Amino acid sequence: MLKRLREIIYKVLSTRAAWPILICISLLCVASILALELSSPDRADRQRLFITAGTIVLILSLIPHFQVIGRASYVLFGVSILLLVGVLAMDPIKGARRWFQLPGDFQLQASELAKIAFVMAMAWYLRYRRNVRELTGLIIPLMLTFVPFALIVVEPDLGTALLFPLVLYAMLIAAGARFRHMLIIALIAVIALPGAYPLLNQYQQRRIQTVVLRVMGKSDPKQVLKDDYQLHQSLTAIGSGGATGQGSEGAQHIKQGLLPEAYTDFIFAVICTQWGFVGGVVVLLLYLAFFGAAVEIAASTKDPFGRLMVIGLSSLIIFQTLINIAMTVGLGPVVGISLPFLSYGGSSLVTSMLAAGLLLNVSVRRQSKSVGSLESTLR
Amino acid sequence: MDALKRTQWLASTVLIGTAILLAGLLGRVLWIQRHITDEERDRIARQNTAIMSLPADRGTIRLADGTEAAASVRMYNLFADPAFIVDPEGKLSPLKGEDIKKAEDILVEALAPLIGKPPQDLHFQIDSSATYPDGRPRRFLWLAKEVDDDFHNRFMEYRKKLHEDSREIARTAAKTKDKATREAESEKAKVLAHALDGVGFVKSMKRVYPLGELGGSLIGFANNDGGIDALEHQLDFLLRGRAGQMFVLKDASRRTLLIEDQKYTAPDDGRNVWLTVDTVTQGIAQEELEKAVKEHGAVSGTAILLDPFTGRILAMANYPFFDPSHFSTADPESRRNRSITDPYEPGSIFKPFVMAWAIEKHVVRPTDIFDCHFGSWYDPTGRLVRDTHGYGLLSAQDVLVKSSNIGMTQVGWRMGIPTLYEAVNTFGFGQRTGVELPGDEKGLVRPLAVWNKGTLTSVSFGYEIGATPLQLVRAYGTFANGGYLVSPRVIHAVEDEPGHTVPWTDLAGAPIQKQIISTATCDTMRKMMENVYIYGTAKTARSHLYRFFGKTGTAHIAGKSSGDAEHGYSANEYNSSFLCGGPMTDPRLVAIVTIHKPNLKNGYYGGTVAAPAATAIVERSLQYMQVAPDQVEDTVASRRTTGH
Repeated sequence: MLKRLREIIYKVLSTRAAWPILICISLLCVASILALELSSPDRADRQRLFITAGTIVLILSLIPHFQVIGRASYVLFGVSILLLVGVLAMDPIKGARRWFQLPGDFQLQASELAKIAFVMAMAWYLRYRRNVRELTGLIIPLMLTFVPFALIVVEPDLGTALLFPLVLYAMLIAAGARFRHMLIIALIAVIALPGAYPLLNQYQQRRIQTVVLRVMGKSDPKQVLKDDYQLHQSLTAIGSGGATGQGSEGAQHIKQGLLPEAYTDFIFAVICTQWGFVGGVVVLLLYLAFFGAAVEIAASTKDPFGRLMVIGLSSLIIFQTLINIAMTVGLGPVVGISLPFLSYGGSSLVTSMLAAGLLLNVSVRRQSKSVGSLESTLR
Repeated sequence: MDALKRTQWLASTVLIGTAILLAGLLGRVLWIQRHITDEERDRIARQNTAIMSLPADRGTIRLADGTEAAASVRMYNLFADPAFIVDPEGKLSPLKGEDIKKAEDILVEALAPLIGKPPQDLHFQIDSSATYPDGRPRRFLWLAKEVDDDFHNRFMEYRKKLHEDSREIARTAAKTKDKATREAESEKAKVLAHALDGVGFVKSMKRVYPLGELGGSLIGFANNDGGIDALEHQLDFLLRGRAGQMFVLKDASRRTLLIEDQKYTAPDDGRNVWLTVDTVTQGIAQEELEKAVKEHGAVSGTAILLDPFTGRILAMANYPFFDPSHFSTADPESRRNRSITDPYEPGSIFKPFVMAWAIEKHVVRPTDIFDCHFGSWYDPTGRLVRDTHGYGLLSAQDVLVKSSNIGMTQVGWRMGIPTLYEAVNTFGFGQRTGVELPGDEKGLVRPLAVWNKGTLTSVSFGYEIGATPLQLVRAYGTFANGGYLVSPRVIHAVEDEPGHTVPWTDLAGAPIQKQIISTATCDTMRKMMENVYIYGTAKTARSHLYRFFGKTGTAHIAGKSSGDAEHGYSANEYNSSFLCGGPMTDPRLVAIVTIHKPNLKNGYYGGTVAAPAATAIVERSLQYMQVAPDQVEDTVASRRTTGH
């Protein structure tokens, strides 16, 4: 077992596409710790623990062949759906039922696991399908998506729920769906979205209103301060960073907790305060490099399941990044989406690490086609 | 296109698209940083830090002998947090009916022994309905304002003792058998101790004036905002000091987190200032002035004692006196330092300056004879000039000694307008004296262009000109110091750091001292004016210890229509003044006393009203300064100066 682990690690390190991913993850984790040291020193210690746990998960996820994991994907998806149903029975935290309470003051966010399970199940389902080129072939994937989507909307966690259709969309394109069909789906979604607006909660509606007003340049600062304090604090924090930031000494307002959720969803604002515009550029370049490496892996993977899984996982991470940062800089509504690898939180970090592990798993074995040949490759 | 190719094509498209999206987000970050308003920046700073001001102690004003005339005392203001008193947890719960009564009782019981009043005489009212604007109950109640250091210390000790007692009683109560009473006592001590925990002090400064009326109008008044009157106002920049600052970091709920050492600036306490005025000489001046004003039923009076060599003002008094301790109830008129702010027509005390300039310019010799026409004479313009007593022929000296207006008019006419104007100017009239006091008046001297023959006549005996007492005594000082016009000053030194005193002249520059008349003229003038005491208008005021030189003045007050007015002057309202200096052989001091509107019943002539006071001020001050007497009573020496 240990020998095999050593062999796999050696194999990963000798794979060209693995390096950018490993370097990006390491640097983002370091940035996470530094930003947490500023905004919430207690959480920085726990984040170190999560990073360790995530690294172990990453390494463990390398051991089985991704085909082996793929075979279990429907079971995993079923389990995650059960968890999503179960979580609705928990006591709400901050008004939402998203977490299972674990011993030792740890929480498990059910939707985080569901994201991975969904990508795997979808990749497994789509791997040899040709019927996605027909409009009718898209019905089952859409229905499969709707189940976790609906369960997460009920929690409520609109931001995470929206990731599912987005990821599905990316995977369907990769699986060979016709652009015509995809365009039609996109149009339907755009038309249907305003119709869904009245169904939203009042606070969700207000968050969307403020974004619209701000993007139109018509927001009243006083009103923003009152309605969307969190976002206003975020913008002020980003603005105070300047080109090179205030460093850990200057950014006292972060230290004193004047930016709510500075450790999770708004951690990008902390980075912009601490290291300024330069810090923001570096962080976004890291994500881009990560995504680029992932796309490179996908493009050179012959195995359809592996390719689709890589597409799904990497689009999951890049969508999260885009939505989170758009929210932090005030271009999107405030939704509870964490920034992969940077935000504080065990579920989020372990899930992101798992996703990265699966990417690497595929990248190591992408040239081979079957489990059997992998065994020989490794020997 | 197979799936792999398709994927590769997609991959590059998606990557470029993602890169564009990420660049867009970064563009937004830049936009935010460009558009952050100053207001928002300020808000960040405000949220973080609170600047706590550390007030500087106001400097002390001391008289020349070191006596504190104005000092700052630290006071304490006692306040209570009613909610805390009632609720041992110190929670922000509103007070209920019976709680308020309980809190009031606890406070009365706790504070009565400290304030030293029986509890039934003490009452604190806690108004529970008073709220902050956001509706929370008020947690602030003034209990006593401006209690002293001693009270503060006693309170702190008492509180400490209560805490110890309550602990002690609680400990012993467990051991002893008589539990009920012990527990009751313990409970009571605890409640008391707790009540006092809800009481605090706010420091404040109080300006005190230990000398009261002594030098009041000179020193002025200051409150917590700064100097308001006189020296307190003028020297505010020195006395005030600079408040220190402490930057305190606050968290989101505005609790103090830490104090930033590097941004701490200690308060720069105000400088202590030493005045030239001496407690004893000022006391003498005020005593004599008050006596003269009261004796003659006058409205007001001023007195100045000046060291003619250095310009140091040793005393400056204005009656009615002003006590800065009772600023709010004081008559605003009494707060003014009238000896520098109120010019008046000096009358005869102006004659020495005219005479001195005539002698200096060799227009007149002391022995020249003037026909005084027995008290009534028409000047060349046909204006009637009168003397109170009629004289025939008088020498120039006697014109001054007898204070003949007719004689002086002839002196003036001999000088002519330009020379007389020159005299007025040279002796510093119409110019500020340069004293470091607010309201240093220039006086009234008409510009040369509008001088006419009438002005020539009037100015010759001290009319049509306005001078302040300080200008007059300063000009008079030239006769005592050998002809130098000095700049009068009241500030002796400034203590720029504890124990290190810098002379004021080092800070403000050396006083201007210009010789305006020759030493010989000074000697002549002194000799002439000694005779004012010997056979002139101030015979009654003659000192038994020192030989003085002086000049009386009794000037009609202008601008009154009452009485038999002549040229717009009041016939029965006078300013009675006296200028004097001494001792003759080695002059040390000059003084002026002006009595405003003396009651005519007790005499109104300068020689009767002001001369005794002025002479006494100089005489007593010389004694205080331990100057050897030079008067030899009834000797030839004293007569000799009368010689012709």
